Amino acid sequence: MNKKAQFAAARKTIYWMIAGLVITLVVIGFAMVIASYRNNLAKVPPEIRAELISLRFTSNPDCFAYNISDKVILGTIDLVKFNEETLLKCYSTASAGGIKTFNFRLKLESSGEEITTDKYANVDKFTIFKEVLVKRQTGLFKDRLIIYVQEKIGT
Amino acid sequence: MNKKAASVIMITFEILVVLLVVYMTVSIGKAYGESDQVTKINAAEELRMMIDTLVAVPGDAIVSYPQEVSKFSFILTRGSISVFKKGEEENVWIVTTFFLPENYDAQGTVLEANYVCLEKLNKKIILKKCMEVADNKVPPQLGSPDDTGIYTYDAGVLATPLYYRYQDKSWEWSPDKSYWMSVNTMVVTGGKFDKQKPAQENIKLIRYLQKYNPPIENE
Repeated sequence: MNKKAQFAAARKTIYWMIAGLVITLVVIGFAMVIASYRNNLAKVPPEIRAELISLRFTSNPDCFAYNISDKVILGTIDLVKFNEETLLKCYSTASAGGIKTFNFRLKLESSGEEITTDKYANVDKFTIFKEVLVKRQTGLFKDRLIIYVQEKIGT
Repeated sequence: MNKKAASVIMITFEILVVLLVVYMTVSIGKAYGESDQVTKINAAEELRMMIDTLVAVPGDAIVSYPQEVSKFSFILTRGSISVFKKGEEENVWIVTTFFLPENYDAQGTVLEANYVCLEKLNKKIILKKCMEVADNKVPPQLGSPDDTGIYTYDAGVLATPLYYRYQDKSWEWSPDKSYWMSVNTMVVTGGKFDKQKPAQENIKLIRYLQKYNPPIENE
C-alpha cells in the first residue's frame, strides 16, 4: 500500500473510533431523554398532593376540625386543638425521614396563631389558603387558614 | 486491495453501522413504550392521593379505583403502598409513602384483581378487591352520564377519550360525539378518526358492552 492509501486507511480508522464513541453517547443520551420524559409523564404536581394532605386539617376531628360528639363540622378549626402536639398526631413525617417530604406551617390570619410540623425549616415553596370557621369559647368566627408548604429538602 | 474494493467494503460497513444505530434506538423506544412503569407509578400515586382524601373524610367511606388493574398486585401497609407485577424483583416495585394520623391503620393485599377498592372503616383503611360488577350493570369506569345521556371514558394520557351512549336498546361509541359506531365494530367510520381503532382499554370496554349490553334504567 502506498503512503497515500496508508494515510486514508489510518484516517478512516480514527474517524470510526471517534464516530463509534459519539454514536454510543448519542444512544445513551437518547435512552436518558426517553426515561426522563417517561418520569415527567407520571409526575404529580406537588400543589395537588399538598392540597389533599391539608384537607385533613379542617375535616378530620383527630386534627383540628370541631366536632360535637360524633358530628364533625367540616371547614372548622377548634382552637383548643390548634397546637403542635395535635399537629404531630395528625401529620407525622418521622417514618419518611422528616425533611424528605412535605412539612407545613399553619397560620390563622386574624389571630396570628401559628404552628409548624416538626421538620419545618422555613423553606416555603408555595402557599394554600382555606376559608375556615374558628371555634373559640365565645362561638364560631370566620378566619383564613394560611398553609405554608415546604417541599422535600435534599435528595 | 484496489481502491474500488476498499470503498465497497467501507460503504457496506457504514450501512451496517447505520442499521445498527437505527435498530438500537427503535429497540430502546419500543422497550420504554411497552413498559408498564408509567401505569404502575400512576396507580401508586393515585392510590396515595385517594388515601389522603379518605383520611380527610369524617366517618366511614368506600371508593373504587376506576382503572382496570388486573396486570398488577398491590400491598398496602400503614405507611406505604406498593405496586408490582407478579414475579418482579422487589427492587423494581413502585412504592409510595403516606402519613396517617395517630391511631389510624392501613392494610390490605390484592393480587391481580380487575378493580381495587379502598374502604375506610373506623380509622382503618383497607385495600381490597372490589365486588365484581354484575353482568347487567353499567361498568363503573363510565361514571355518570352528562345531561344528554352520553358517558365519557378517559383511558389515560396516551388515549383519546371515548364517548358512549345507550340508544335503541344497544350501546354505541364515538371518539367525537358526531360519528357513532355500534359496539359490534371496533373501527371508526367517519370523521377525523376514520378507520382508526380505539386504545386497548376502550376495546375491553366495548367488548364488555357488546357481550352484556347492560341496560340503562329510564332510557
